[in-house]
Amino acid sequence: MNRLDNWGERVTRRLAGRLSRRSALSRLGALLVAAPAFPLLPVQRARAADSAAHAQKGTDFSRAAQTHDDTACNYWRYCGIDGNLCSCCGGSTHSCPPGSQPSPTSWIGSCINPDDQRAYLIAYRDCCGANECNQCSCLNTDHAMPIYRPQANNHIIWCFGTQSFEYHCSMAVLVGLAE
Amino acid sequence: MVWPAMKTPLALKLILCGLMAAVAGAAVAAVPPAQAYSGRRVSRLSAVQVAYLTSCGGCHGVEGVSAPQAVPTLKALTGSFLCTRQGRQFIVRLPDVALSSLSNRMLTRVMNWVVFDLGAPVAGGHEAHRYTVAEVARLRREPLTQTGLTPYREQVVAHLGARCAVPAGLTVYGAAYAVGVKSSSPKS
Repeated sequence: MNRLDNWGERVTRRLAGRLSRRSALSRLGALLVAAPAFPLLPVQRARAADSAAHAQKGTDFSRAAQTHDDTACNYWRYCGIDGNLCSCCGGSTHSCPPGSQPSPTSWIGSCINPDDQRAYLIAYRDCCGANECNQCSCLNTDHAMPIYRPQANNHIIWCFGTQSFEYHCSMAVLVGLAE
Repeated sequence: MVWPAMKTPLALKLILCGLMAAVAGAAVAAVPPAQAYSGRRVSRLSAVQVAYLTSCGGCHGVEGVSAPQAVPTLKALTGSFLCTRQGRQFIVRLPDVALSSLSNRMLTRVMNWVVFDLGAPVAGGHEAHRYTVAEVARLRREPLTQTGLTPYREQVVAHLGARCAVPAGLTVYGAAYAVGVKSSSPKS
């Protein structure tokens, strides 16, 4: 024990003789300030890169989307919808309410399903030939183009080819999985 | 808001007439029901199918058929255009094909898929071969933007009919147009 005490005293005295108190403090301070500037372990760096890639995947819409309530504007398939949800009007995401007809034409966009993070093509198909439903009006714009690119514009009444141009509501029909 | 009443530039009208040509009362019976895609089985789509669907399939239909009088049917018909050189060039020079946002390479793949898969059978003869990227790149530099598309199409189809046995479906397309936008909230 005595020997350990003597050794400890020797080391401390040698350090005290060589280093000023200010020097020790400044080195400790520099260490504290500089440490965060250096990435730590490679594992941590890999995980950070992974989560950055994960965060870039998808859109603002898809990161806040849900997959259980198709009467809410943030249902995942509605990422580019503009209009009244047929799901709130007596129809569904893929069927028209009674008394209205599905349009044979639509515009096709894609939405990311938050459950599997994969992109699915969605046909935004309007139901036509009945008074406007006026329930659950949504406006989402993923992959929608301005009106001068009408092929992918969601503001147009997509009733081309039906008997009536009277807009009722909009569906979001699942076309398939984009591989 | 009644959009078609607005004064639109000629170019925009051409685009609208070319792709969005529509007529109220077109054969609704021929419309594939949207419910057809509601099954539990989700089809897996290749890159060329995704390009077709997002660039063409909205109007022309997921399976190449929508409202035949308003939008030309592709299914089992586009192959017939390869009967003549004029027909072969026509379907690439159409404004919405030539001026699409697809790259030359992807547009070539889409055209070959639309003609040889979706639009089969392909008419026999000298022109019945696959498009190359160089050919599509050259043809799309001469889009049919200065031509009345409806009479030109009639002429192309008449020449096809004189040379090959073409399906009757080729002459169904071509009628009056009607275009509109939603009248009230939230689309107004």
